[in-house]
Amino acid sequence: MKTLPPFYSLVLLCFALLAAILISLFSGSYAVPISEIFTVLFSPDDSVNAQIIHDIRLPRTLSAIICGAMLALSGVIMQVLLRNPLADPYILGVSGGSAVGALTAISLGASGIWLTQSALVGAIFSILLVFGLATRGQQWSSQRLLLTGVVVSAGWGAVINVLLTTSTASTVQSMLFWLMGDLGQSRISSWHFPLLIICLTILFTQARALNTLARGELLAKTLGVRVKRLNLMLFLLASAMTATSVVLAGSVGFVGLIIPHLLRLAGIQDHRWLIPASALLGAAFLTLADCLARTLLAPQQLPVGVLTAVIGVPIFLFMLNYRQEYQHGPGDSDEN
Amino acid sequence: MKTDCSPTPLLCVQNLCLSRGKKILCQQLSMTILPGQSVAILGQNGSGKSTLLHALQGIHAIDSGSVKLLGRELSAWSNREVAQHIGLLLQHSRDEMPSRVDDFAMLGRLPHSHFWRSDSPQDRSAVAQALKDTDLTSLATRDVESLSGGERQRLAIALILTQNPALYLLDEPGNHLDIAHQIGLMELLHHRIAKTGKAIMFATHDMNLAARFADQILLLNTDASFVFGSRDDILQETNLSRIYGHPVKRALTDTEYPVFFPG
Repeated sequence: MKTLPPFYSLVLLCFALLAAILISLFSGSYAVPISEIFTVLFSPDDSVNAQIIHDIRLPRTLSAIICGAMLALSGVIMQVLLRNPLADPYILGVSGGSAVGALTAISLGASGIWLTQSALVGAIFSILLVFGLATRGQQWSSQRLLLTGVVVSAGWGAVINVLLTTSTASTVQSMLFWLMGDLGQSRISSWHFPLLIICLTILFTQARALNTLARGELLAKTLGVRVKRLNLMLFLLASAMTATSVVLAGSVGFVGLIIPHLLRLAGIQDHRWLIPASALLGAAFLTLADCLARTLLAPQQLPVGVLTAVIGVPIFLFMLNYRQEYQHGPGDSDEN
Repeated sequence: MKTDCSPTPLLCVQNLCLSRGKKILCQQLSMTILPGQSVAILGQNGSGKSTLLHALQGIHAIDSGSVKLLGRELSAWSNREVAQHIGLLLQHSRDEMPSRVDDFAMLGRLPHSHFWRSDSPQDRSAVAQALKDTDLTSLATRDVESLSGGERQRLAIALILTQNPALYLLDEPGNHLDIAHQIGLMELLHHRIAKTGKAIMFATHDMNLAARFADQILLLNTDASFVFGSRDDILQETNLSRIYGHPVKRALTDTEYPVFFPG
């Protein structure tokens, strides 16, 4: 399989993201012509078109970009931090804690700012709990962190089930939407983009160190990487990004797991390229998935988390098989 | 044993005590490594060969004593500076995440690079040369996972070659290697240190690899005692039989180095 040089992949992904943004601004039940989109985007007036673009479609598109990029980045980090290809942003229980917070708020009849606040409190509580338990009295080990996170996650899962089974039918639906991930309610703030840029910059400065950490902590240490500090930084960055995304859109599944792997399968394994590429592809992927979520069964909306899986699973399986043939195909079987 | 640290050796170890968990591995170990020297560590399983190598690279904490790199305490150097001067070939590598062979070899350039600079032509030529030296050029674009055990070991050696340290610490460099690569790579390293004033310290279970490529020998006993000295003084049937707890005999050969076999 010929792989594209990483730089061209990155340019391609930039265009993909731009296209996804345009499609996202264009799609919806009310038809806004493309020429109008550009006009009202850069010089808003009081027209209906401008209101639809600026009040509904643009914020939603921006939320999708933030969530998609943050989830994909957080997935990359978790997979390196835990050196486990199965790791995703939610594996350490951030989404579980957040969900318990959000669902509790929903069952108490809260919405809007109260919902996001309690989701945030849940996420932070879970991060601190896992971190405290995993590092208590002992040296940090990714194995221990993983086990602690998975068990705490399972605990949150049980609490979520209790909340679901004891709630009334009307609240259960909004709970399910939240659990599956939904960009309809997300409110983007001015600090979201700066946070993303800061995380990207920090990660980019550590990209080479991440390359070594992916091959094992001991190897990274022999090459002069301050592993303890790096681990802590990665944990905090991944937690912050996951929490931000979960609070914005609920636990949108699959993006954090498959985006990094898709890129690795496509030949981008060096973190200096993988990090920016993940952010771009994650953003584009979630933006497109959200377009489908709100247009496929319009006027009814689907949770975007369903769409990410529906699109992601076949693409991922295809790439995995394609790559396998390449690696273990005929003429390449002279191992050992 | 008193060790003189002047003139400045590459590495000077004084009264080093080491342990792993509750087990004491080294007591009052003192030795020096001079430029151009090759030191072999022999000892039973669990005698502390690996731990000692880890400690000398600063990734295993020492209990007491001092390790000086170029006359300055190892702990006073930054991790990055240590990695520029001392390379450590690990016994195990982990391959949970995919990586291309040439990308893996490039990791050795980390101590010499900065995040704002992309790989320099020197970095690339160092990788190309290291892959050539380890016979991996034809596998450069393969995934690490698809390599055999011996090829992986050669790749690990390629990584330390790109790192290009002044002191090569090698934990069982001959692991998984066929004899041609075992001898070939040790000869390559031997030439390199002789030419450029670098040094090697390697842990091995192969007495003959030690006899052939080391001029200093460190024997580690399981009771935390040690013997350090020149090859011909240390590599004796009695010494080897004692540290292995198994009779070792010397073969009658016409080689420049002694040859031993288990009795």
